[in-house]
Amino acid sequence: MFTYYCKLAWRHILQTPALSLLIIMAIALGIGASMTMISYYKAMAHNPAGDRSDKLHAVQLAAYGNDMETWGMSDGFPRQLTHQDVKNLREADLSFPSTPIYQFMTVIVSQREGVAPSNDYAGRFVDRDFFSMFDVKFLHGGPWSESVDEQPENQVVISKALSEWIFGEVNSVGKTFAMLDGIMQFTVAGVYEEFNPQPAYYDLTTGYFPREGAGVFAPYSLVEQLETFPMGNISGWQPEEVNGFKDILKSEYVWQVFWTQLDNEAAKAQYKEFLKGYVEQQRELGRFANQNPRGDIKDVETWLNYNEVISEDNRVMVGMSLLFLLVCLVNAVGLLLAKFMRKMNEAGVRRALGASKGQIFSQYLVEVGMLGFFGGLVGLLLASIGLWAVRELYGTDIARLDFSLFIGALLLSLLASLLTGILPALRVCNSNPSIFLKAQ
Amino acid sequence: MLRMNKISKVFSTDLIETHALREFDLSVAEGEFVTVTGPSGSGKTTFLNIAGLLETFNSGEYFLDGEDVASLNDRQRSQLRNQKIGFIFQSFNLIPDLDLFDNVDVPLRYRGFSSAERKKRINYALERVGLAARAKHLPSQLSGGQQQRVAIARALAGEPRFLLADEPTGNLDSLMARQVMELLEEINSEGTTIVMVTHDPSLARRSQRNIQIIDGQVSDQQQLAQAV
Ligand SMILES: Nc1ncnc2c1ncn2[C@@H]1O[C@H](COP(=O)(O)OP(=O)(O)OP(=O)(O)O)[C@@H](O)[C@H]1O
Ligand SMILES: [Mg+2]
Repeated sequence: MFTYYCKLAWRHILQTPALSLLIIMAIALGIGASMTMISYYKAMAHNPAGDRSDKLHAVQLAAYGNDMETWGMSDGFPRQLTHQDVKNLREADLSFPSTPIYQFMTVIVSQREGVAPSNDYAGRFVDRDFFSMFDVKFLHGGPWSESVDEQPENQVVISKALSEWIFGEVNSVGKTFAMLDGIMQFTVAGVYEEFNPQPAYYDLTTGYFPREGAGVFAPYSLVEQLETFPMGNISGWQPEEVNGFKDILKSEYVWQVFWTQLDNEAAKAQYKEFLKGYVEQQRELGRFANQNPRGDIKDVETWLNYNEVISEDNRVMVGMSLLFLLVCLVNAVGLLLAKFMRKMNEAGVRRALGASKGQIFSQYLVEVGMLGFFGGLVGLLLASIGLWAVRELYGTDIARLDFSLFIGALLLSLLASLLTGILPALRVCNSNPSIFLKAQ
Repeated sequence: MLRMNKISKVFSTDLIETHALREFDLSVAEGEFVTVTGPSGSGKTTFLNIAGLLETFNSGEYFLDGEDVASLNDRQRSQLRNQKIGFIFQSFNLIPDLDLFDNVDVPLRYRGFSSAERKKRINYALERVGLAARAKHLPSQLSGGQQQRVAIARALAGEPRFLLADEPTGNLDSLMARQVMELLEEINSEGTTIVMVTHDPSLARRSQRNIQIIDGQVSDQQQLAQAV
């Protein structure tokens, strides 16, 4: 019977092409708009840390003075840390994997013929633990050795793309190239496939959804000697005289992030205890002179919410797009009623020939479902155009249609159209057949 | 075959109540050919629709083949209609965008026959009315008389025991009307019970029994010929 209904539905769609097309477009527009917003939202709501989400923790310190009540975010913590604190955290006598992060811009010199040096590349200073903590996948080589975190050496880890750009080959382990000022030489310790988690939770200070991931990772131990200015936010709570990089290092400016990996509750408790002690110690040195000096750790999920990776606007947009879908469906109901009214006589004849109300209802619901399916397909096309526009507009690489969204969109449009079709189909099957069998 | 006791049917609209049938009594025996005549608006179509289970009634009893239809739900009534009753209308009521084959196919689909069985029955029914060669034509490509013959083929394909015809010749000229009448008589002679509404006294005279409905009641019954 289902195939019979499908056959009838397909025939009826071909017979009323204009009306059918309008219905399909109404459903498609609603699905297109809502799927665009939902997939964008879903991409933003994604937590790329996976099962490391509750292990990795961003460290925060209320490191401001002047007896201020609060500064920074709503909970009284600045998002970033001072260099002094990062230095102390880094050197603390703790066994947890941890790493500071800050971003820098660099000139890189290609060794391929006729390729000019580029300053498009972003690099980050990190410790060796970064690569295991954030699951960087190496193609060749690996992180620099542990000793480099203590005794700085000009070693780097670079991306596959950068390796190809500099050397014209993927495996460049052991080779050297010029970076930063274009003269200083660095040796490649490892090459990774690609590292660009979306959102870029490991360092949200320079954009949530960067199109390109970091190209170079350099040892944080080099920071003091290289004197490389950071890219991104620097903020302070008091006016300070800063003349050069050395002053920034000594200042109370916050501009770095610090992550530590705490695998269980005991580790978290221990780290919190350590922060408490650290704050006390710094107070004795005259820092942290605010009304509520303290430290905090936030896991990845908390960190993403805290940084409002998904803004209220995004939620409103999803709501609006669903409302738009509703409007489209209401229109589709009207169009369907018009389409089905023409079929009242046929439904009457079918009833006279032995079709039950249920069978008539099913027949028309199958037709609506078919329209919904086509609407869903066109809607997906519109959604992929919409997502392309989102990517262009925000300069990000997120929000692509994946398989689950594909299935989701088809299910949504099927569900929506069936809901839409219930009223018109009921109208047809509940009409008194005898009225439509009268002589015309 | 059919027995109605004191059937009443009231159509209520916003303004008026129409008593289409009032304490309507009628019995039709198996194999009979009954014609129904009466003035316009007297309730003939209403009677036929109730007899064919297309319409419900307000009070009274109706037994079809000994079964009290009042207690049946829509699905059961539809099934009964599908298996036992064939409808023929004045305006043919073929489905305009289905070809003849698919039109005749409609009642068989709801019957749940296999496709081989349906095909056999459709071809047989179309042959019966002399239109087998036109199976792939659309109704609009046929004359009125031919269309009515398709409608008859459609009504016959499921081999119903009971044929209800509402002015089947009303839209046809007298020659075509006679052909349709002859076809119905042939079907009746094979055992199918027929109730036919008509305005044509000459056709009414050819049946075994003519009943006249006036104002929603059987006013006159005439036994015209011996039942077979
Ligand atoms: N669906 C309906 N709603 C309201 N009144 C109706 C409806 N169907 C029929 N009637 C009324 O019931 C009465 C009987 O109608 P019916 O169609 O049975 O007459 P008829 O004998 O078939 O007439 P005709 O010979 O013109 O076809 C009429 O007065 C008609 O107006
Ligand atoms: Mg009538």
